[in-house]
Amino acid sequence: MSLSSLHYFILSAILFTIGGIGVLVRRNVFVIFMCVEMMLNAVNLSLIAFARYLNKADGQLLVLFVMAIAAAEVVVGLAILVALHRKRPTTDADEMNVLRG
Amino acid sequence: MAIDLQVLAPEAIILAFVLITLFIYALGSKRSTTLMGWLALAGVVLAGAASLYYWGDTAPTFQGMVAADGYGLFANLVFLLAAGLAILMGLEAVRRFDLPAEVFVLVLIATLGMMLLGSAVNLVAVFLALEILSIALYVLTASERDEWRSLEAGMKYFILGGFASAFLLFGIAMIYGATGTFSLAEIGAKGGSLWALRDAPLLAAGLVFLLIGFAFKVALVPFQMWTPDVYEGAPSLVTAFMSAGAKAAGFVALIRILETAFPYWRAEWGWVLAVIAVLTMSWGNMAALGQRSVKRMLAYSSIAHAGYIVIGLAVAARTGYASVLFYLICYTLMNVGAFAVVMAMGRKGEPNEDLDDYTGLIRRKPGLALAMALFMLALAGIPLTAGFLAKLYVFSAAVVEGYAWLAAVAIVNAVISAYYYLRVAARMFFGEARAEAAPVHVSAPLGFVVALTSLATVFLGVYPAPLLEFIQAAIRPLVGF
Repeated sequence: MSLSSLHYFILSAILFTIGGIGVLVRRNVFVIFMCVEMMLNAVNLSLIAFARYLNKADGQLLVLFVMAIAAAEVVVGLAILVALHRKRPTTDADEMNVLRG
Repeated sequence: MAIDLQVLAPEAIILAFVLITLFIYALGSKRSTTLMGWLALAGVVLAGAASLYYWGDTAPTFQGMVAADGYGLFANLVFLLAAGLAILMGLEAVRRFDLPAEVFVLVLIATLGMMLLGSAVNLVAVFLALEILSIALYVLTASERDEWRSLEAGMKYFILGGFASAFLLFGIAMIYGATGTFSLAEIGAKGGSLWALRDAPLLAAGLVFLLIGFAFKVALVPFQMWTPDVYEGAPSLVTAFMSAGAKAAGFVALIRILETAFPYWRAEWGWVLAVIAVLTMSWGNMAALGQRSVKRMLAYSSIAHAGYIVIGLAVAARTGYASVLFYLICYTLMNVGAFAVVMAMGRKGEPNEDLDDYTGLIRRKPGLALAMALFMLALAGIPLTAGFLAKLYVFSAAVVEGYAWLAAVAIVNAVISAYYYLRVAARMFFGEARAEAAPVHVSAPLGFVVALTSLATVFLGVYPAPLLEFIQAAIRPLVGF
């Protein structure tokens, strides 16, 4: 049995789901960041698999863009987290609860 | 392949002004903040002029990534209107709320993202433009660095925005896997022979994920939970900018994607969007009823308005899209105006957003109270305002295209919404102000925003004909003659 693009796609969907559940249930902001990254990288895996299957380069091109954007996103997220940490030293998402109603 | 650079002239102008303002910021002192604001405004005006100057329909360029057709150029004008008003509010906000001067740069970057999103004809470009827009908005939301609630809002927006981007990207990956292309036009062409296509379920799943991603970004039920917190916590100028501009960008791109890449499933996505429209407007209005904070009430109201706009998407066709574009302009004007009043009421550390702070405003600041009353009437959809015509066109498009039940639900919703809008107006006119109420100060740029938006709200309410003709010309490249 050889690996087809379907196998990669299923693996990617599983990783995406694990990441998505992690964002919803984990409370530590760092872990939530990592879960978002995991979702993006899961998509990268399926993009690469599809690009290989279709024998085209543009899917792999998008992967490079996604990695650059994910890096930029994390920089912004960490900057906001540092600013929050200065006001109140916590990384627990449940303590970010001033806005409600 | 030759690349037609002038196609992206408006975007290039904005990018140039991003660099200029950043350069001045790097060199400058505290005084350069105002200069940056005016330069940013000049950039917005020039980009608007360029959009009009290069009016016309060009073929997709930059390797088929963007097309500066009438539709994209018209969308540019909507985004630039929101950006210009936000920058004017920013000129006051940097002084009053001690916002950093970067807000001007970030508003320009976000506008660049919106303009690219409105012109994108390729899913790669759609994703990149949406991320340029979103990342700038995360920073803008958290830009009131010494206020906890602004930072908290920024963090919440960042996490859910990233989550939504992942869904959108997964949708793009599935569509790519099913059709082998990112180009909207080619996806549309392949879908024509759909049932011969082995991967039709994958394409459908991709569309669903794409819709989820966009639903997060434009705050549609059931993906709206971040909206009230983020809109309340962000500085008012940012809330005004993202509830008008970013939402408009999401809808403009969604229309182009659905119409170009998925016309063969119009019945299916029309039905799904109709259900989402009902849920979104009902949820937004119900939640807004009990709000005491005017800013939070406006946040819920923006969800309800997104619901009305989705009706125009659901009914599709020429009339539906034209009504959406008209609604986006009217909503930008009345909503930014309302948030400008909210900003005028606030002071550093004291947001003064409670209904009680607005009580008796007519005796303290008659002009401001009258303008706020006008915006409330317009948002509620009272005749002779732009809000009324905007609703009328969306609802009549629904009736014409056979969605009469949808229009009926929307009218019931509009009646319910009148309660919480008119309550603000009634409190301003008929209440007694508290003795210790803080004085309200309106500076020149802020007064200009309020005056301009209220005049435009009335003007479009009585004389919409030129704008409607303009819109009809703008959607021609999308739906044909």
